[in-house]
Amino acid sequence: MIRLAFRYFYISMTGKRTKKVMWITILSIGFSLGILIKTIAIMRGFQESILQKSLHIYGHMDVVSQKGFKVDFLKKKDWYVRSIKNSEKHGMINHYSSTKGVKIVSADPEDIDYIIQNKWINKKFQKNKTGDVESIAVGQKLAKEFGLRIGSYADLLIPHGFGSNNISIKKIRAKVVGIFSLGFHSFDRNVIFTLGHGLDKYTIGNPEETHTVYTTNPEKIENYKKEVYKENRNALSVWTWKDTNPSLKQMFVMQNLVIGIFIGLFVLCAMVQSTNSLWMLISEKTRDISLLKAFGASKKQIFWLFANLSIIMSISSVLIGTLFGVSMIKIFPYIMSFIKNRMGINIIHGDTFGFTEFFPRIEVLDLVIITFSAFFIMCFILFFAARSATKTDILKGINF
Amino acid sequence: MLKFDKVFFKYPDENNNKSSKLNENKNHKSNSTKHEIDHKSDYESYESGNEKVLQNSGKKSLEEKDSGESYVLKNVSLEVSKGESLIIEGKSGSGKSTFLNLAGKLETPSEGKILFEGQNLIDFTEHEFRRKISYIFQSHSLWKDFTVLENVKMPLLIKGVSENKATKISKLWLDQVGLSDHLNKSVNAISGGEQQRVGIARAFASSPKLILADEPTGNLDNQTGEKIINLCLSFSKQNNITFICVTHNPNWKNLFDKSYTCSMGKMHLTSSFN
Repeated sequence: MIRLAFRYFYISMTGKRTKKVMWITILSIGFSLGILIKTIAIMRGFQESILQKSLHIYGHMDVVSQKGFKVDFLKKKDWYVRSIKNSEKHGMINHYSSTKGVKIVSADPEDIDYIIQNKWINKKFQKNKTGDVESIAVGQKLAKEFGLRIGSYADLLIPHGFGSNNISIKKIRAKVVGIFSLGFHSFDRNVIFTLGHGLDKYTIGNPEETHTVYTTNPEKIENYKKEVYKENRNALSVWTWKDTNPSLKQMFVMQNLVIGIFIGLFVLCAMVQSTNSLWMLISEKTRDISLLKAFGASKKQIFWLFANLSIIMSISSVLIGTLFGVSMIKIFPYIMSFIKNRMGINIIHGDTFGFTEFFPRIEVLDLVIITFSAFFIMCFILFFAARSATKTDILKGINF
Repeated sequence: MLKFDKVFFKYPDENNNKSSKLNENKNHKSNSTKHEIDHKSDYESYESGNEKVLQNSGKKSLEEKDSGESYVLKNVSLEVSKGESLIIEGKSGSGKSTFLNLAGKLETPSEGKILFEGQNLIDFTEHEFRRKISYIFQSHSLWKDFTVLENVKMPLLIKGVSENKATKISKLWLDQVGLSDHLNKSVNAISGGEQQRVGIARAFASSPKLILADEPTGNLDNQTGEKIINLCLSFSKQNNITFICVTHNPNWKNLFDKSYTCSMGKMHLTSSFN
């Protein structure tokens, strides 16, 4: 029956009455699948790029010890612990105009690259050799607002003496040695990185030891949080990137929801189209089916004839779709570039997290899951149509 | 081989209700032209799409019940042995195709039983029975999308014969019917007579025990028709296959071992050469 199925497939793809419908069905399902693959790849690429940018700025997980409790972590297989001694202070910057609050984060020079990534900031920070002027890196928006350039000076107005009755403001000169653009408005506007720990003496309250834990799989951060709490329940406070970026987290949830909707729509369209085509084919072949039954074909044989035909149709559609989808992923950047250069249309705004281009990405596993799911769903649906072929009445069919 | 034992057949109730209403209308109309009706067959049947509707044009038979139900076949009892040839001749609507449908298990008798090789036909499964028999249709009923050779091979492949063996057997039979030069031609590219010969080759190639031929020469001229009938008869004799043929042509009954006439749903033996 497999050979007969192939024969029927060939006939349906070349026959006058059926070829249009069959070609349209297979190509449209294929293209829909291809577009689905491409869409998922774009969204994954977008998601990964955001995570890459944001999670290198905010620690994947900040674990803060309380009451001087020393935190020790065992290095686990999928954890990589990098500890950065942070003394977070709140300060103010004043240059020409009114005071605005900023967050000053100090970091060791070798760490700052890891946090910020060298493409966003000049790697070669130079400490001012004259005197004790602090070196700072400021965000692009902050720099613009205060008219700062590399080499210009800014006065940091830092309150100190919290916890005591006398709180005073200390004015500290700082030199701008770097300007970064991370794509987060709040970061580019409200954070200053200082090199070294020169401002540590101006801490608010007691210094805290913070460990920033980076993972290879930041999406499973909640699991890690639970593990940390299990170890040291009362002594630690843990903030994950999801806690500090609820809107980012929501965005990813929304994105996954959209992907799910796309998949659902695809399945619905594929269902309707493929079933329609197979039913059409079965009604075209009513006479043939009746003759097969008249000459002794069992219901099982008839079913497997059309089931095999369904499998062939599904494989064809999925193959076309996968090829189309993967090709689109490869040529997508060229298309975007063409649109930008030839038509002057910039689809991605520069302020979108500092993106200037998209890099769609899809894992092999994702591709395998999508194609196999599409294949099995199509087959499953078409098998119901194939069952209807077994109910053909011989007498009526021969006279059809 | 095949035995009909007091078989009655009528169509399902919904068709009979329809036909009884039509009967009432026709009875009303036909009373005024009764003398004309006597010369016509009492039951005129026509096919509309897939429905068969019976009209009683006036004269009621003895078997017709008060409720208005009418039988297509009445009290049919006949027997045909292995290797015998049987012809059933009758006018259109006499019930001969219905007889063939019953013999081929395409319909179930309302009363009586049909035995095949001593076993009640009801006890056979559909496909099990149909692998023992074969058909020759009036309109050839070939698979139009396939070649001549593929058409003959198909029943063999259905039975589970290997591809090579099926091809070999098919080629032999096509040679016997004189179509060895047309093996790879599409069936649409050959004449009506050639198509019927393909149908014959297909029927015999699968080595059935019984062949049912429904007006096999209906679409052919007399000369070609006679050739076809002779071909079928010689093949069935050579291979000891029971051959039952229904036709409206009364000229061939002498060629068959047995002949029956079908009229008003009843079978009458007209000749037997056993």
